[in-house]
Amino acid sequence: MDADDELRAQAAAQEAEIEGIVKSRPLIGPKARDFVSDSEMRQILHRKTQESGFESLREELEGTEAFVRKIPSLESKYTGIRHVRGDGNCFYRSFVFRMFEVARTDNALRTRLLDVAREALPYLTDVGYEEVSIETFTDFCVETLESLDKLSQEDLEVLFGEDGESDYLVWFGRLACAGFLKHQPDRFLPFIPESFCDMNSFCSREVEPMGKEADQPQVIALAEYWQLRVCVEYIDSSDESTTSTHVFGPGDDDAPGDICLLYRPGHYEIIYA
Amino acid sequence: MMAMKRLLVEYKELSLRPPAGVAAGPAGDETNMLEWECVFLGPEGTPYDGGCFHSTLSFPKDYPLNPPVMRFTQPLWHPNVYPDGKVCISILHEPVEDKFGYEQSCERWSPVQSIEKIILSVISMLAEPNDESPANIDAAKMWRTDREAFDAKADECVRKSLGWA
Repeated sequence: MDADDELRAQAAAQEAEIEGIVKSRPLIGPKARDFVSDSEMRQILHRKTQESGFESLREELEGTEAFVRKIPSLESKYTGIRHVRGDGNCFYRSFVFRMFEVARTDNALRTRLLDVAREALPYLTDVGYEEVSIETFTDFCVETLESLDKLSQEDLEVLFGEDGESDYLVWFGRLACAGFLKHQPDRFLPFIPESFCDMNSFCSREVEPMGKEADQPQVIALAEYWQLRVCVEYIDSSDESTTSTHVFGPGDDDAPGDICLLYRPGHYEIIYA
Repeated sequence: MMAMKRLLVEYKELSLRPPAGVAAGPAGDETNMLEWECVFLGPEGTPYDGGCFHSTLSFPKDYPLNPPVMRFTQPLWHPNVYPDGKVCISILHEPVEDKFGYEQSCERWSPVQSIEKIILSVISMLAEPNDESPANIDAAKMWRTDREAFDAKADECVRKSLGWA
């Protein structure tokens, strides 16, 4: 084995190890605090995970003082956190799960989302997507929204769990995001890396494939596509003692977010106001 | 099952408008939509002209989130086909980053692709091998350095595919 081969073997072993760690976490964890004491919910959701909440966030971030320092400010604004698997789909998974979670009990929102979802097929074929390759996803999203009020919170969490079909909904999030970007290329092109000469190549490389992380243009696109206000708390290595808050989507400056997410470099999770 | 639903839609579409020189559909009865058979006629003007090549398409349960595996069921001498028949073209690669960053610029699998696009890619693969990341290194070398010998090997495959050899 030459040095190159050895390096490759090491890299492959390391990658396999990381993949093992990633996959040992649930796709969607339990919501901290509310559910941790509920034994039934634990049975459903705690197959592989430990208790989660700001306590576990603290444990995870331990050693990075600048991060840990910001947790109290987060706790003063938010009541809970739901961990989401860090598999590159965490932004889309967090967004889509929380959207369905809110809409499950909010009839007006559900109606509004249904209107958007029912228009998705023409909206997307309009920018070049082929009906045959996307209608399974648009149909599934409409069907899920239509039956959402009949689902319990547990049903929803099972749907988004390991054996559910939630990845089809997560991917629809990617598709909707790409569709929105393609509808407004002039607005978004200045914000994507120069190595992509047009929006189609950006979307086919960075948005459409599962496992590709989302940057700010994707966050803005998905928020505006669904007309949902998304509040992202950034926890980073700045000197501040508080997280910085960025809000995307429609609404007044001081309106609360429909969806609140916690972002630390490379990873999104759901937080609850 | 979302995969079944999508495969039925694609099957219907492919039956109504089949790409020229190709027949594709579920291998057995239609209760198992995850295993397909696909027959290619060797495209005119290529070394495979006149051949009739059988292949299988095996779909994962989460299709189209992940791509199927395509395999020729008889030997096919081609730079992008492994000696065991497995087809290696970028559209059939899983969407995740390649471990060592190969094929960055190629179009990989994502759910916007389809069986029809795979079929069209295979047809263009037969016409124009990609010798940059070959699955069959000997075939790639021969294709690059000795086209006459390559064509003879391909012709042998054509004859075999017709039961003449």
